[in-house]
Amino acid sequence: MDSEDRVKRDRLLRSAVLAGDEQAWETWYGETFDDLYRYVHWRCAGMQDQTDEIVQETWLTAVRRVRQFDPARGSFPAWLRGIAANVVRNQLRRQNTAKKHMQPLAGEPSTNCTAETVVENRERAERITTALAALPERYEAVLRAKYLEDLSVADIAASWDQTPKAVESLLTRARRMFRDVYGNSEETGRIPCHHRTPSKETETL
Amino acid sequence: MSSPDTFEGDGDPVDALLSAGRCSGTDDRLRQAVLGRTIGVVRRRRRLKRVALGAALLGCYLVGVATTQLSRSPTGRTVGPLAQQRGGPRASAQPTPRPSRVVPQPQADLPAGRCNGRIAKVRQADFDDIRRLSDRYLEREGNVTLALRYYARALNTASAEQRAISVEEDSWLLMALKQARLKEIRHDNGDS
Repeated sequence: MDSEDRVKRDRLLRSAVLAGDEQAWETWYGETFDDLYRYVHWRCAGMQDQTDEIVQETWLTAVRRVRQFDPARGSFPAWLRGIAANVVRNQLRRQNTAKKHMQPLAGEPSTNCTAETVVENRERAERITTALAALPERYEAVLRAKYLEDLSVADIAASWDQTPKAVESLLTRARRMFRDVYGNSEETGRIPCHHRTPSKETETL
Repeated sequence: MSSPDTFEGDGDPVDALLSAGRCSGTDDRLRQAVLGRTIGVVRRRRRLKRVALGAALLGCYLVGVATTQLSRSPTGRTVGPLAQQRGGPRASAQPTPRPSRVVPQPQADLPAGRCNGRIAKVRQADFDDIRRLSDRYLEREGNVTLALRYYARALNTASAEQRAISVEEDSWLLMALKQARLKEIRHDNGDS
């Protein structure tokens, strides 16, 4: 769809939803639910309970704040992803706070391999989620394009109007930062909370 | 050198971590549940808009009614005191309705502004005509000042019979004015 057409359509849908048109909301919802679900599932590294909670909270936030959505600044799916990313970050902050107040269990460590595996997988998924949340928006976007949307470097370069070399360079930096943050959280057991500012996210390729 | 379709970092262990969250399907049960909750928000918003619109319309209607009431109040205020005044002098008698009079059309339809300019010309006019005009000012427009002025003019051209107080025909203001004139005359006669 042409960019102008997309903006016009989104404006019409937004006005309809603000006026209370259920059909318009169902249209938007039907078109974007699957993509949002897959995105959140990826961001949560496969943790189903987190995914369900974040998807629900994202949609409820979106329907309450639909007045703030500006079609000229971006598409509806992109706006939803922004909300989901904030919800993930808030969730991680709450979990960090909760973990600070947790006491270690007394007694012998469990010898149940299945239980340990589940716990290890869970911890690994949490570290992945944290590392993704700590990345600047540009890095997260290129990793999403590569690992979630399964686009090749050439496809990414074409859609972003960049050279393949520039995209490769961006991917390398994004992966390095992800590895560093993931590795840090693995060693220290602490989950970093990076503050992402727009100036840091603007990368010149 | 890597081809455009591959990335030289492919095969890195980080790939496995970044691909951990990929999924092909979605949760239909979750989809329906979230749709139900969000539709509820949309519905509530529509209802609130309707209530707000209804309240706004009602507010406009009430403002219109209040404006109409306020614009009528000068006439309404004079009805009360006029009725009270008429009740005073004739307290012993039953209140009788004023006889309806045929008001001459040209003078009855004259607006207040134009009447002011005709003061000099009404000296020769009939006492009854001027009195009717004054009655109109007093009863319909509540303009006591103008009514007083024309009552005085009428009395200036009145005969002795016309200067006598008539309980059935005279308004409270005219009666008061006639009484004052009588006192004046008696006072003058007493002095002289």
